[in-house]
Amino acid sequence: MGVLAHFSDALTPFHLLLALAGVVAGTVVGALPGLTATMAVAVLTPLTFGMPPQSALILLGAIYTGAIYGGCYAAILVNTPGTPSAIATTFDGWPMARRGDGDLALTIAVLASVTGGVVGVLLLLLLAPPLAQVALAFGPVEYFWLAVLGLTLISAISEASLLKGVLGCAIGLMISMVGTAIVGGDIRFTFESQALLGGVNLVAALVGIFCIPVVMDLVATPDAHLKVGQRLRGFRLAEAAGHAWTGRWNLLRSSVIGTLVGILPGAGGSIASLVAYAEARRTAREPASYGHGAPGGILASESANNATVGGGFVPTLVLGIPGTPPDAIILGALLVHGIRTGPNLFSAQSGIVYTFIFGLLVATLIMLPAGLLLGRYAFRTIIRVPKAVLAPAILLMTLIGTFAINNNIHDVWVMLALGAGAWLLGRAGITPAPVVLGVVLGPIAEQGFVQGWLIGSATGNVAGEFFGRPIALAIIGMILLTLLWPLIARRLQERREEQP
Amino acid sequence: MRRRAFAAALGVLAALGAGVAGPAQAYPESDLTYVIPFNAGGESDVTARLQEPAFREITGQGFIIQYLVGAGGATAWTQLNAMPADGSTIMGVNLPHLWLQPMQGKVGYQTDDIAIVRLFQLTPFALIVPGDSPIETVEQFIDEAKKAPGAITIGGTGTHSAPHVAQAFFDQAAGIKTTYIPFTGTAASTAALLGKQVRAQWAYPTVAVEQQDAVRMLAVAMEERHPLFPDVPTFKEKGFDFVDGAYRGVAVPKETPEDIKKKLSDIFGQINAQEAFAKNMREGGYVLIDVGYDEVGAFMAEGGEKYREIARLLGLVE
Amino acid sequence: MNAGLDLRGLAGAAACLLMAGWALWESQGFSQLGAVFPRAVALAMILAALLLVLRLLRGREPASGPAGGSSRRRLGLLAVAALWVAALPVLGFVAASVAGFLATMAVASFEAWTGRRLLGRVILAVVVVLAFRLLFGELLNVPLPKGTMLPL
Repeated sequence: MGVLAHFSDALTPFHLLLALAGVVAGTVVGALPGLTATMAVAVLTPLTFGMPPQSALILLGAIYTGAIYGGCYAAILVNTPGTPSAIATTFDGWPMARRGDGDLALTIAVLASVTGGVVGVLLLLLLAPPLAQVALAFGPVEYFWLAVLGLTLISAISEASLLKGVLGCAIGLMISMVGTAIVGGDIRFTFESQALLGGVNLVAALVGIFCIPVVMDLVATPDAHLKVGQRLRGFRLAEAAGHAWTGRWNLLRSSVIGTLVGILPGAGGSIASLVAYAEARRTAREPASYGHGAPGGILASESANNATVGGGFVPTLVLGIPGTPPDAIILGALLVHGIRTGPNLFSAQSGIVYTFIFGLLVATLIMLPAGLLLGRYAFRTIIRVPKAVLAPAILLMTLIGTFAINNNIHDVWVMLALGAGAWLLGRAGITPAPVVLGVVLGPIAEQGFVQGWLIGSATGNVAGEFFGRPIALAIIGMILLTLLWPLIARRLQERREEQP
Repeated sequence: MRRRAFAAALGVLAALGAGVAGPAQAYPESDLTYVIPFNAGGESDVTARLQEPAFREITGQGFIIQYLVGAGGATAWTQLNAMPADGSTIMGVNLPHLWLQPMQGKVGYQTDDIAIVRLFQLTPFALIVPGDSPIETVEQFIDEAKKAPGAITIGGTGTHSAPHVAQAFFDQAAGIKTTYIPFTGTAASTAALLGKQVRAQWAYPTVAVEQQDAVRMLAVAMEERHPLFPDVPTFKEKGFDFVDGAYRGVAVPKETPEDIKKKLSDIFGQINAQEAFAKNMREGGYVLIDVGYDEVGAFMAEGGEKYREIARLLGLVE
Repeated sequence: MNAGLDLRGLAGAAACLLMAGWALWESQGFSQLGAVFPRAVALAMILAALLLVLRLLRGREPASGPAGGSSRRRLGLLAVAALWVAALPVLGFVAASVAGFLATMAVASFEAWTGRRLLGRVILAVVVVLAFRLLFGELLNVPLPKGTMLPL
């Protein structure tokens, strides 16, 4: 069967319908704070058991990509990432929505998500086997340095004070250490509580730290939640397309970063969008506008996180090693369908694999009209609903979302406690973003560091392990560039001014 | 409630009267809630999903699968005995987790608190190296480790997890020293092995089934050779009394009536005997076992003794 | 600019110092592998907190602005949310959420409650909660809390 035949198999009316249904269901679930892409795929997987495997895969892929995209709604409209992948979207999406550009931000997010998704799927289609080797070349030390690269974002997202940003990030790192450590097995900072043995769930932390202070501020004043212009201006598609065209290199670079980070098992969409955001800010003409509603920030974050979908399927399909948590569930579903995964999947079941990849491509494209319509609906709902209804509705969603993570009321308490803590920190000028950065990157940094140290000690060359590997050196170079860039930029500026 | 009690009474009467296992007994009357203490898509989840069609064929009912994830399973097991004890709720259990976690302290359950009705599956330990590794046999592995103690890095899952047990046990039995590198899960440790970040891995034959020629199993910790890998020796053949692995089974809240426990145990035994299910499991590299309700007590006691020794090896207890 | 000491900022720095000190104390009981990272982070935290105190005392830091609006309502919201969560495992999802929804509406509304408005809001709360119950509980299979008194 030729490749074209698989393409037409992905285009049957049934498969198109599945892709549409999956994208819509995924977007709705992903849009809710607390309900992540992993949750969307997990709860909807049983629906696929009655289907042929390729149809099941198309539905699951569509749900997954829709949910990653859906994360931007809550990020832009409520300053709460709907999924961890949308953390970086809050940095500029929320300021845009506050100043009355929520509709524009949502449309930019659709364009970026579709672009990123398409780039990710195309790279999966064309370059999967060689890219899978990249995933394997990434060892503990590289993960450590990648996390450090993410941490350099502190300087960018600490609103007023760098020192307060550092403190916030350290608090986040502490939160990430709560529970039973994978490496070392110690039980840390649990206050002797059973409920904290498993650690603080990342999603519960995200929802609490971002969302609770927002709702608290929401009820504190009678002002409207979001500003709006005189009248609704539709999709503002032309304007958004203009921003996307201006930021086309940003869009492309972020999509590639997203795909590459997505390939790494153990990294995922949150890190992809954070790294892409950092790079976009570094290379931007006006880096100071980032964090205050720069469209480029949304372009970077949303294209990178949707690119991780295609990227994550590279190790999943080529090596049988899930690239992201939703991929793990999809692999499990394949096993239930009686399909043996692993390195032979690509060759032995190429029909199913190619139909799936084309299906994912179609689903990503369907996201454009579906996302535009859903986005407009979400935006209109949130500006029309009176505050007295909006606040309880958001609170209700956070409770549903946090409970659903592990089916556990303890997580809801943790979420609420962290929310109250985040509000107190906010009063001292420590903002949520650096705290969350620490929570997300902490486990990767710690495990990478300790594993690398163990391996280095075993071979008697710790320094060589951390500073002698080519990929590690490349990442260290990027870290230095990011840290020193303000100085370099100033020097270049001075030189330019010296010359007449 | 009354109906269920009535049905149970009927069941007891039927069993007493007929003396043969009558199919008339009403349990289960509705779908069972099957709590999985690990993430969706993991081995426990996939096993439960594959058990469901067989369960439906035998009983006419299905599963409502719920995930209660955290602390390597401890979050779920701590809550098991607070769940409805009427046979409507069952939970997946794993060994050696149930032995080791209470010895570490601080978890909210004791090994004896968990009413296991049946152990149905085993993934034996296997020592694995990359497919192109110069190490081809257990003997070479031991020689290499003796040449430079501690220099061989071995990947596995978290500290004090099942593969860590295997590493500690084998190191002691062979008189060698290796460095154990904990990863977040089997997939992560397999990725590290394939990428040559570590030189070997303690895992299970399931990894070799998936990765095929990309990895090489040096030996498996079974009584006899694994049917899918007739060329891979057992540790026993190599002179090590090492037969162990990670076990899976199913448990109920402690107060669940005895006849329901027995009935459930029988049903899961029948599932294991079902050809379609058994074939699927075997091809995945799993080993089916049948430790029924009557034998679980002795099995747990014997294993508990052994794992007290192992906990000493790992430094968990004095 | 410098209108006295930024007491809130100082309190934040002090809280961080306490937290880091506690983490260092706790880390004595950890294995070597488990202690490396907490200690490094705690030390960095102490360093940053001390620097912050220094800069705050010299008036070099931008002041943390006072939050506008009513703090009573903010704390009220927290209290309502806590009661809501406490009620979930007892009253079940629907009953606890209708009550929580109404209470949050009360905290969030700045208009007087007339009889007609009250009726409208009760209906609204019931409809919204039931809609969420249907959408997530039934259509999307998301697990929702069950109560010991009411299993909905």
